[in-house]
Amino acid sequence: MSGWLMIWKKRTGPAPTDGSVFRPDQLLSQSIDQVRDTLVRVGRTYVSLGELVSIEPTDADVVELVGAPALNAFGAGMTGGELRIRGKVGDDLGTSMSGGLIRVHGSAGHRVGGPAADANKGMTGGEIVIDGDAGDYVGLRMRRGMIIVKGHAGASPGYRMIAGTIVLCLGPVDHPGLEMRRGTIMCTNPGADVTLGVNFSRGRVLELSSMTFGLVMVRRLRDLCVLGSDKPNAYDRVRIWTGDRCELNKGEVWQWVC
Amino acid sequence: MRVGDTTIEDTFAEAFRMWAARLIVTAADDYWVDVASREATGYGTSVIGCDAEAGVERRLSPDDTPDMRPGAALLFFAFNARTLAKALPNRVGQCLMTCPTSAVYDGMVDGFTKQNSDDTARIDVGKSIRFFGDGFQKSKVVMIDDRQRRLWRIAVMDGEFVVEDDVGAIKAIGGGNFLIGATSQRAGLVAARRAVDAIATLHDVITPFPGGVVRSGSKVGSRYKTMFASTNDAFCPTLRDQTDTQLHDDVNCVYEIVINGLSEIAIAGAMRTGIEAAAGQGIVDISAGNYGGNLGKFHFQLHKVMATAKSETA
Repeated sequence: MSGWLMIWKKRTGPAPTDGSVFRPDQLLSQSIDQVRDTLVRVGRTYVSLGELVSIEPTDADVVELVGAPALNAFGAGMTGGELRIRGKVGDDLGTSMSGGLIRVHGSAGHRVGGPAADANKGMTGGEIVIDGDAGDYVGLRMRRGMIIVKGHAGASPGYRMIAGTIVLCLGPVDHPGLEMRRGTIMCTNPGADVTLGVNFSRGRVLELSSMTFGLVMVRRLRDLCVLGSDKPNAYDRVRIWTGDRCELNKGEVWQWVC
Repeated sequence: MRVGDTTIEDTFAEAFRMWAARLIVTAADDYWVDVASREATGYGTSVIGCDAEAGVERRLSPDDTPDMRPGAALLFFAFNARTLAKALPNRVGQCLMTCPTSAVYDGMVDGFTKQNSDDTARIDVGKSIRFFGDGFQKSKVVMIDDRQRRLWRIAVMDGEFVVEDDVGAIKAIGGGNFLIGATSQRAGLVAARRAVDAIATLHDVITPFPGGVVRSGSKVGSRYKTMFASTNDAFCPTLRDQTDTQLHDDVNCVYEIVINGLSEIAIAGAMRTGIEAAAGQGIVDISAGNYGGNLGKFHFQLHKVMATAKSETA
């Protein structure tokens, strides 16, 4: 298997808004002709992918997209593989995805990892890493998997979260985990202002060493180059709030403290 | 064949099909890794009387463990996957969950398939232990070593016990062995320790007996109906005049090194390494335990094992 490097072509006329065709689990198993012939919806018509992007094979098992407009629903429903996007993306990144990795070298819109229009739960597996900022409702109703936002996140990350993990590297964190049932929202910035809803417990400070899952997460964040190798030594304690007490009360919000 | 002063007998070791699982155990520091490893692999010498044969395969540095703490790879062997599935949750629940700061992960990368097959199986560990959490347990699916793995977080009094939902098991081999025939007990002990120390540096094998050494080698069957294994009288120096002895005239002490491994190549490599280390002054011969070739399907001819190029068994 090889990957595809896709460079967006300059063209006139209407542009697509839906990026859900960019699914590595489907594109990586196809020949270059099949990939070129893949249809993309533009308004009320369809155009072939080959008209929108130039496609070059690569050695890495990755679909990499460069210079595309901020389409919605990139990687929606994907089950595996890696999608790498250089540039901004629109709303609904990775909706209802169940596996694989999406890396965005830019910012993302609202509802990252949320549910598709016809689904009642968000992503059920896989990982999304956003180098820039993300909009509101990161991880809306997500069920499993991990979302990492290295920049700022909008309002209510983890809103109605069912389970899974959200990592926010900068602050402020605005009302995380409202109505969450389970799941973990981690803020790795000790100085960030975390504003919690009233249904969360008073935070308790624990040693990171006693929260072994935190150490597993640190290892994964290092593997994804989200954390440097000097951490978590400087952040060897975490403050943990639990909630939402009006739901299952099995969710938790972590903030690393100095 | 001779290695130095020691004769390598023209015989073979007879080994059996077993199933194996590998657990990665981590803890806050080396002391607690030792404690956890010792407890989890205790009472794990022979499936004649134990639920599993167990041992420490190797120590792991923080760079090699999922939670960046020091750890150890433990290997567990049983006659079949079903027996292993009974032994592992018991040992993890009683010996590892109770051990301060410990965590348990699957270390059998080769056995990673969610479907059971003729050659691999998944064994529930955290899946059953999680109920100790009394409803407070939490499940997390995390990418570790490019695999999505489900971990259970069970609240305990020093924080949380993390244990993998299920672990892989694969077909393996138990009962690779060689017998060190020494002129004295002291010479035998020194040689046995040399052999065990040399084997301990290898991957995919363990020596499950006390200190890696067996003094009570057994044969199949007994004159007593209730016993299906009994002392290997042919190698007992005290019975030399009462039985069909297989001992050389100068041999006054015999120690057996039993090796369980994940493959024939791993066991053959460990046998050769161990024999090379054991041979020397005071060691008259190296032999091997077999049952006439009728019991185990894996036969390790000592001369063939010693002739195998190192590159083939590395």
